[in-house]
Amino acid sequence: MSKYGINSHQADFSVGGPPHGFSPLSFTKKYIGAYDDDVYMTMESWVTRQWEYDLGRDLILQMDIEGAEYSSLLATPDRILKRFRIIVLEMHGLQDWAQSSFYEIASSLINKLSQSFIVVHNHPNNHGGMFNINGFEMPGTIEITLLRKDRCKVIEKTEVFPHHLDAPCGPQLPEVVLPDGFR
Amino acid sequence: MMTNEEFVDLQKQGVLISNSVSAEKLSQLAHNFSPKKTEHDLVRLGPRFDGGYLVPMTCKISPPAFLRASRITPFLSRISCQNMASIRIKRIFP
Repeated sequence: MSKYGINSHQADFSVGGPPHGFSPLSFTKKYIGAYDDDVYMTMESWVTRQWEYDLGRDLILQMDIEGAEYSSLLATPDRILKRFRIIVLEMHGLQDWAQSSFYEIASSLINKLSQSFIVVHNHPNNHGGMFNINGFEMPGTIEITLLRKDRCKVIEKTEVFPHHLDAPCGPQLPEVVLPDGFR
Repeated sequence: MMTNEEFVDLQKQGVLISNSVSAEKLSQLAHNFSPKKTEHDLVRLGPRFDGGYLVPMTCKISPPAFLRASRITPFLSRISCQNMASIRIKRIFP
């Protein structure tokens, strides 16, 4: 990121510090979650404490938090979400959408994100497996890239899958094919 | 379909059997993930494996700040769909 002149901030309770080769401007040893305490902090708490927030600058979010994305992003006010120009999100547990109670949570999040963002890329994670639920094929984990709607003019359907820059998340495993229902 | 005995066993394990979602409803939700092409080309940030992502190249105009939220330990203790009574499910791991 630094080569693009972009400041980085990282939050993760599960590690002692940033990974080798990644030198963020700040590291916060907390999980992103739906409330604030000694272990968790909300997106709002995290974002508003960054000095770039007060400058009114756009932000980029990369979120890979092992299933906590549903509660964390649903708890994030729209005014905070809209500060992100781009959101790179790894969504986990898609097979759990098959439970009616979790379906409501997932659809709430997806509908909330769809109000302000469009999906510009998706790619199944080959670590997450593939599922067939009542005849509908879906990956267990999918990476999606969201772009805020005000940042794009031309919108048309993507026809080519996978993107030529896509690569398997797990190089030791065969790549998985994106099911038709996600195209 | 599960037997009553299997159903009770799952309940003892704390697994709640609830209504399953139809393929049609799953398809409707998944359709939201259909990617759109914009005027911004996608570039890859990061490695060509887990941790690398494709993003639209919109940063030339005003560089934003980058926030990375990560987590290594599993967060959810999920109820496997394989345990749900009314769902036909098959893992297709390669």
